[in-house]
Amino acid sequence: MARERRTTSGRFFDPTVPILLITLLVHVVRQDVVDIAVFAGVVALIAVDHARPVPVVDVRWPAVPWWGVAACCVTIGAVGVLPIGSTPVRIMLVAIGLLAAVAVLTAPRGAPGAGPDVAARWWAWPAVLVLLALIELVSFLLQPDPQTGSYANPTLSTLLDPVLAEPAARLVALTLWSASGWWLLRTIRRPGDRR
Amino acid sequence: MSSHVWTVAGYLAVVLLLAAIEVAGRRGRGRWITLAEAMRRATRHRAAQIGLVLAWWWVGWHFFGG
Repeated sequence: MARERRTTSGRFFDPTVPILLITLLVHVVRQDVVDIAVFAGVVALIAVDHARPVPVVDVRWPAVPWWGVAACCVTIGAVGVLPIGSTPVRIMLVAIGLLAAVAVLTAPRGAPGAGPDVAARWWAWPAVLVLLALIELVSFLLQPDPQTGSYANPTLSTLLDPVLAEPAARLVALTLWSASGWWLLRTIRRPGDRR
Repeated sequence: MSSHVWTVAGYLAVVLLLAAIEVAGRRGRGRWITLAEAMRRATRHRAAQIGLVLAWWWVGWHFFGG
């Protein structure tokens, strides 16, 4: 049930926005219009979301009915069987993205409790991911052109696209991707000791 | 070694590093934290919530949407 407490907590300039802007710059170099639009739109969305007061509500992740699970399985199966980049696949991915956007934008302001705030070595994860991004960036810059992959300096896409061309591998990857997205959204919307 | 091998070795090293951090986090050694704990920590911030969902969706869009 909604509690009409309103808040504008949260920082706009945490690392997220600079990271998105750097990624946006890479997409500009890639000349990918869709990715440019998506990333620029999300940066604008974060700014708008930061500015608006949002009612804090008790949100419970709904129990998934059997037909919901069936719909997820059918969607994963359809995306896995249909050719990569086909129009139905793109429509389904856009629909999934819109649903995820609604889920995160209607989540309570703040975040789930993260347990004891010990001086854990949390930085290890972003540090290794930055290393991955640097390898990817160098490989991308050494490509003959932004749209042509290079065998000598492969990006992750160059390495994984042939693997994902196989339907079985695609189904496994889709299942992992779907499960991780479900976990992420459930974590974000989880009621708990928010800050 | 060719640059192809070096590049692939770099990706594999990243995968191994991530796996090692996850294992250390699960065993509770040296205050390493698991990926799930790191994500919960990151999602304390509103912009990070939106950014992480975007990152997740974009991976699917990039690899499956062509």
